[in-house]
Amino acid sequence: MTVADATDDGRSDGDLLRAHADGDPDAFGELVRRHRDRLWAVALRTLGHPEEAADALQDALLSAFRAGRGGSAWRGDSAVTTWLHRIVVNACLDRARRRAARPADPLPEHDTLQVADRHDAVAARTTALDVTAALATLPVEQRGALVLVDMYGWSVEDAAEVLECPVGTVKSRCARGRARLLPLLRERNQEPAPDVPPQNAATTGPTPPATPETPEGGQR
Amino acid sequence: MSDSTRHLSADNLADLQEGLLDADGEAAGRRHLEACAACRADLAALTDLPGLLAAAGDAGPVPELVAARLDRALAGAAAEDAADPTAATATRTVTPLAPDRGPVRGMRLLQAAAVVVLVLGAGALGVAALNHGSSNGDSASTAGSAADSGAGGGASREEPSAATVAPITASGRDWTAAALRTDAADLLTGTLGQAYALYDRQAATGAQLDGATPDPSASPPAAQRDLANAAGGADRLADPTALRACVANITDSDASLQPVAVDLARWQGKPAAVLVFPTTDDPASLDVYVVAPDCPTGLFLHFERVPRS
Repeated sequence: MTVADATDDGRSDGDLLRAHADGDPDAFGELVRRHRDRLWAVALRTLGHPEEAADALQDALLSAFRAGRGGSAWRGDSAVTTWLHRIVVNACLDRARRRAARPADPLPEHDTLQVADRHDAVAARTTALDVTAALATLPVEQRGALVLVDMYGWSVEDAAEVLECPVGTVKSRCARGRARLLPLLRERNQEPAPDVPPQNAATTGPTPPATPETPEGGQR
Repeated sequence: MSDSTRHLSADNLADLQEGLLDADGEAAGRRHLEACAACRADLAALTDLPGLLAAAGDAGPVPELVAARLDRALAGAAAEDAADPTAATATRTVTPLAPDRGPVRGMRLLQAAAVVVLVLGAGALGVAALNHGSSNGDSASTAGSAADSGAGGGASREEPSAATVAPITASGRDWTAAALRTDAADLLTGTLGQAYALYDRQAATGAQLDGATPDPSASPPAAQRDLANAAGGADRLADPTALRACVANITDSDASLQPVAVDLARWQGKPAAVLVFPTTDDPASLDVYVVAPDCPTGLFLHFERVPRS
């Protein structure tokens, strides 16, 4: 057993899913407890609203529960985490698409912020809200790809498995999404950032500081 | 050389960065970048973006209320399977346990429990609980918790009516999910182990009276130490303030929702408190929450929906 699996019992994720298929009443709950923080984060960042995320996560886990009980969904050739993420991300994207089709249906802002406040550190909150708000403006498919790849560091190959599309599609969704966020980034970079002078990031090679106005170094 | 004089589009830059341009396109893009500081700055911003997104990715652990809600939903699905194992197929639809109830959905997981209190208490008090919505005082005055058997009939103090208190026991049991399923309902009668104290459900709603007074008749001084031992580290929650804070966390501060039994015991070998609530929409079952003794700051350990009898 791996270190990650050794939390409560020695069973691997696959063991738990097989036990669940065989009718073990506790196996799926244990599996969920292992992964729910990560699944929650993905759902929250994909949907941008805690209530929506909680709804999507519940829908997804119930369908994973049923699929796992039927023994049909997880074929053992992909990681259980990938399988779980696929179900959760699909539930989120479905929900986001439905919401996009009904723009007149506002989300409960008040509750949303209350819940977000509990966990986002004060310092990080502004950035997180900025970024998540910007993410929310992206088309659903691009958002899903960026959340997995850029936000949570999935390889494009694994993300392709979660999103059930070719690797090239993941790459292009990421690129299109990043391009759409560029105006936001320009805005951010216009604000004075005392510890990150903009020219530092411009090139990869060593950049000797050209400071013609410096009074030192005058030859004599 | 229009290639090198026209600015690259955002899509162009992002494609270049992701390696999606063909060789010609990439060469032309690079040529332009060499000459154009603005496009270089844009490319740098795009390169910074994954880091920015990653920094915003931390969402903290799943909120306790969401975790509890998920546990409830899954427990419900498991219970349906158990009740009808032949229907356990991938095509079956399962009714969510927390159906939409208007604009605020689900997060307040015990939101509708006021209704449940009514259902449960119909035999005992009936309509009295209807008034609780605006006045805190009589909200939880129902609940077939039958605390009298567990309280041992504390004749020496002003006796709260049986319906307003929930027994706090120290069963000393090391609970498991299976044990909860078979025995948790017995906690309502206080017959699992000696009563340790009484949780005054009514006082908890008004937050005025002493909520969990150790009952002198149920736990005389001679037995107090044994009880404390049985409760393990969880006896911290015998303190009314601590227990109320814990309950408030579980119910999202809806004071009308109060446990019908509490057991200070153990979970998988570690001190834990078992809190039994009426199930929101099923009078035939109970919702059991197992929490660490430092609730509400500590871990939510387990949720189990169990049959009421």
